[in-house]
Amino acid sequence: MKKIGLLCLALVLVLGSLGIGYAMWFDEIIIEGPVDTGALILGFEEGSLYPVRDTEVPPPDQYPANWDWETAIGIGPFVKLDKNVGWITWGLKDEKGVHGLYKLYGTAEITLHNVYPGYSTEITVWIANGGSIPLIINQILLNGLEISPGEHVVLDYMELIWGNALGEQLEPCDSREVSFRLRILQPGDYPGVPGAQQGETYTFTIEIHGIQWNEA
Amino acid sequence: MKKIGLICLALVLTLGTLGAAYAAWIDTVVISGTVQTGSLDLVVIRTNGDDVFKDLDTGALVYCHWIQDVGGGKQYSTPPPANGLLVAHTTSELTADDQVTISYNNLFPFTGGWGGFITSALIHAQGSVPMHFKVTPSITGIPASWVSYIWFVYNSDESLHSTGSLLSDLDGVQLHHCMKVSIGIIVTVPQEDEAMNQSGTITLTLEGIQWNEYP
Repeated sequence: MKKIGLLCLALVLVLGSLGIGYAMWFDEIIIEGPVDTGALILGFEEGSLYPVRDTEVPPPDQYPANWDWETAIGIGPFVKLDKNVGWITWGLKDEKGVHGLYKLYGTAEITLHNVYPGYSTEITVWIANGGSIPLIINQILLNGLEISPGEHVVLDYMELIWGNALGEQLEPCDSREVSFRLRILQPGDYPGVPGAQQGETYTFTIEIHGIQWNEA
Repeated sequence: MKKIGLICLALVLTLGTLGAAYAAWIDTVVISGTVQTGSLDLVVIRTNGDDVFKDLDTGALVYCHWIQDVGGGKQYSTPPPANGLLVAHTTSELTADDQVTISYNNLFPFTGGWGGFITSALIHAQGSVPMHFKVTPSITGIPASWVSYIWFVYNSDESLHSTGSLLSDLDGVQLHHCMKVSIGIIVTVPQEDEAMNQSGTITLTLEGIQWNEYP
C-alpha cells in the first residue's frame, strides 16, 4: 500500500513537471467575427415625380401647353381640352438616403387644384432601391386597401388605375418608374357613387411596400 | 401532462415563426394626394327695371330707370318727378338662393325705351370652372308675342363680349370666371282692349354647364 502511494506521488510530480512545460509554451489564434448588416431602403428618386398630363401653371395663363386633359368613364385614352382650369403641384419630402447622384425621399405629395368632373391626369415617379439588400415590391395600398396593377378603383370622387411594379424585384441601385392614372368623377358616373362635389378637398394615400427579397 | 407540454411546444414554435415574419426588413414609400375641386356658380347680383310716372305738373310721361343691388334698395338712375303719379312699375325681389322674382305692375300699351317695359338681371359667373350658358324661357298667362329679350355678355374686364336679342343665341355661350351676363325681359302690351287686366308669368331658367361636358 505504501508502494502504491509512492507511485502516485511520483506520477503527480512527473505530470506536474510536464504541466510546467505546457504552461511556458503556448500560442493562440483568434477568429474575429464583425457583422455589418445591410440596409433596406426604398425611396422616390429626386426630380422624378411629375404629372404626365397638365402642369403646375394656374389660370389665367392659357398657353396651350398648360391646357387640361380629360378621359371617358373607366379611364380610356386622354383627350386634351382647350383651357387651363385645373393645375397640379407636387413635391418629394422625408429624405431617406441617396441613389447614385440622386437623393431619395419617403413621401411624394401631389395636389390637384381646381379640378372638376372629367379632369384627368397621369402621375409618374421613379422608385429606387437605395439600400444594399434586394427588395421586392410586395404590397401597394390605396387608402389602406390593397390594389394590384391594372386594377380599376372607384372612390367617391375619382377613379384610378394603378399601373405597375407589384411583385417586382429591385436589386440594390435599381430603379423603375411607377405611375397611375386618375379621373375626377361626375355625379352619376357610377351608380351609388356620389361623384366629386364642388368646392371640396379630398385626400388619398398610396403606400408602396418593399420587403427583403428572401422574405417576400 | 405530456399533452400540455406538446401544446406549449407547438405554441412556442408558431409564435416563433410569426416573429420571424414580423422581423423581416421592410421599407415603405407613400404617395400623398390631395384633390381640390373647383366650382360652378351663377349669382344674380343686380336687377334693373323701368317705372313710368305721370308728371302731374306737366302731364308728361316720365320714364325712370331703377337699379337694385341684391340685398339693397331700389335706386333710380333718373329721379322721378317731384309731383309724379306712379302708373306702371316693376319690382324685383331675391326670393330664394339664385332665384329672382320680377313683377310687372299695371302695364299699359307703351313703346318707349326698349319698346316696352324692361327689367333685367345681371348675373355674375363666380365659379372657378368655365361653363356654357343655357337659358330656357317659359311664359304662361300672356301671349309669348308680348315678350322679347335683349342680352349682353361682358368680359371679366367689363368690356362687351357679345350681345343679341334671341335667347337661343345665348345657348352655348361660354362664361369664364368673373364674366357677367345681363338679360333684359321686355314686355310690350299691344294696343288692344283684350290686353287689359291680364296676368302672366315669365320664367327664365339659367343653367351653367361645365364647359367640358357641354352639350
